[in-house]
Amino acid sequence: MLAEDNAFLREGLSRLLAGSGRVEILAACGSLDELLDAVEAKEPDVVLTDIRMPPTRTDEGVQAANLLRRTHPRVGVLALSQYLEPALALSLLSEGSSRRGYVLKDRADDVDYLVDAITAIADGGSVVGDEVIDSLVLGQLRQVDSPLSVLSPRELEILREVATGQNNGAVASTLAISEHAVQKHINSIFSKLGLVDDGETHRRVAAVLLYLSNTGPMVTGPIGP
Amino acid sequence: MGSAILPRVGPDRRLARLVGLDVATTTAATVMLLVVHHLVLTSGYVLVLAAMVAGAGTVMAAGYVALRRGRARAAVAHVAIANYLIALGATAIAPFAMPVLLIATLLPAVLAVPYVTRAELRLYVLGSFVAAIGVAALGSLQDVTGFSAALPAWIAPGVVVLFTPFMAAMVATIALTNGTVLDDAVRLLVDTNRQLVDTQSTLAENVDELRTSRARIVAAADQERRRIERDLHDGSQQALLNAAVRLALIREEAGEVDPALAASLGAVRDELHQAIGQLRDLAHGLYPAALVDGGLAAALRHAVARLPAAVTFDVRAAGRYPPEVESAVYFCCTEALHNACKHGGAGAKIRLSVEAADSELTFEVDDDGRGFDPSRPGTGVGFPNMTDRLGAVAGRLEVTSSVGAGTRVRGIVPVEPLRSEEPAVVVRERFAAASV
Repeated sequence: MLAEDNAFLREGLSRLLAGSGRVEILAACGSLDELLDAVEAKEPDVVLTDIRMPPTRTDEGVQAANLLRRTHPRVGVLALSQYLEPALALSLLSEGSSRRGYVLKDRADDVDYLVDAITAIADGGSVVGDEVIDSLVLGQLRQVDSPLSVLSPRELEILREVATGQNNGAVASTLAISEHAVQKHINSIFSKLGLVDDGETHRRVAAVLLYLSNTGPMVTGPIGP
Repeated sequence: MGSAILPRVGPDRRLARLVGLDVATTTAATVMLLVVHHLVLTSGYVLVLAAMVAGAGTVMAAGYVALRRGRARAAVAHVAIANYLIALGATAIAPFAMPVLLIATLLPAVLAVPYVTRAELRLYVLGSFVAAIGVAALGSLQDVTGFSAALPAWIAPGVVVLFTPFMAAMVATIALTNGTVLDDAVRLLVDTNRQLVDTQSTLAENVDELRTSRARIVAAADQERRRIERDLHDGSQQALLNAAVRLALIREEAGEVDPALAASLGAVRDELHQAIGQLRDLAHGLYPAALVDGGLAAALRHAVARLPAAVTFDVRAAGRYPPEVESAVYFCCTEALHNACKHGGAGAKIRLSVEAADSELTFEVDDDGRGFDPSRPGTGVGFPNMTDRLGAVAGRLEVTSSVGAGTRVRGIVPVEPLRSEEPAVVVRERFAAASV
């Protein structure tokens, strides 16, 4: 299901996605209300939504995601953002990152990337655009006394991959190392940063993102229960 | 009249009257002496006396002219010299007039009080003192000229009886009216002071108005930048994205029949994406959305991550502030950071920090790069901009630099005590609650 207030882009995107043959477009909507009604009526696997839509054109995509988390927990949401807004990304993932994704709209014409992301979310995973993670990691690294400075280059690389929503297997194949090695690195990273890893990939993403985007000294301790 | 020339109308008019009276008196005395010479006593001494009195009158008249030119002190000096000379000269010739002339020697010291400096007044008192002793000494010579003896017996007591009260009354009047002169001076001072206070409060009002209007201008400019930023995102960037998606559709179709065309469309796609990236950077430079959503710390973090040079920073202390404060500090920081990257030279270490106290928000960007000479005109066009921006929120900018010793840019903005809003903690709590 597609939600995008710009009619041309909505039309182009639905044709592009439908043309891939891997997804079926159930509905194309132009506002938050239309989106919620359509979800109610058609129960899609994934909603691909613009972050800003009528009525307020601020964070309707995030509102929809958080609302659907309660009303339709099985519906995934991939949000498209015009530009990098870490605060919105976090808000989207704050109630858990499973079946949630945040990527820049620049990807709108990269049909393979979009379809892969939609598939990953439909399978219960999470997707965060590389640009978002890179900006957060760089921002955190340049911080005075940055806790990230205790990580080895390899660990930093793995942290990046984990933050984009990849599971251990995907990280292992991206970096061409064993899954076991990935898990060992993740354990080391989490213990160095004082984070708790309960093995759930989707919670891990939110924890790492929150950690990366935090500007205050508050979240240096463990997150979650 | 003298009022056109003299700024201090009150006291100088009075002085003019006194000097005028003196001139008139000496003129009358000269005429009288000449009459005496003709009718009562034909004597060389009477003529000498007349000449002396006339000379004194001339000196006083010169003083009157000086006074008309606004030189009150010169007029006082003329009157004093004329008085001293005539007192001494007349006593030598006519010792019987000593009581009158003794009083005349005191006149300059009394007259000078409101017009001269303290040091000059000492001179006049000393002059009167010396002249009085001189008059007393000459008077005690007991008619060395024999002039008194030659006069009819009624003249001496007549002169003393007639002129002593007149002279005494004149000195007394001057002494008494000195108080009025001083009162006038005090009133003038009070008036001037009141005017100054008025001017000062008007100035303060003007400064307030200027600050408000500067804040208004900056706010309007910010608003305009945000509007353009939104237009760029919602208009131009959206249109470019539409084009990119349509291009992707065409590429899909072309790929099946004409791989060469698909490849060149891929090149167009890359150019399109470059343009989209540039447009986003441009919009971001105009007004970063992160500033509105995430506040100063989030926006600065984002800005630092985008800089070409490595920057270490500590913005953890920054909380949320009114939008005009956040945008002023944000733009000053990024301006200073860009300056440091651009002018600091390769390998310069750049640091950014934000400190928050109860009532002040301070930021500092320093580098150990090339530095510059702040006294050289035209260095750093960015600084007036930064000063304007900070000034609009009642803040100030301090720039310290010297050639070869790096640059430090420091800004201080008064703020209300921090709003107790810590977005990260809020998010964290929500996350913790959700994952329980």
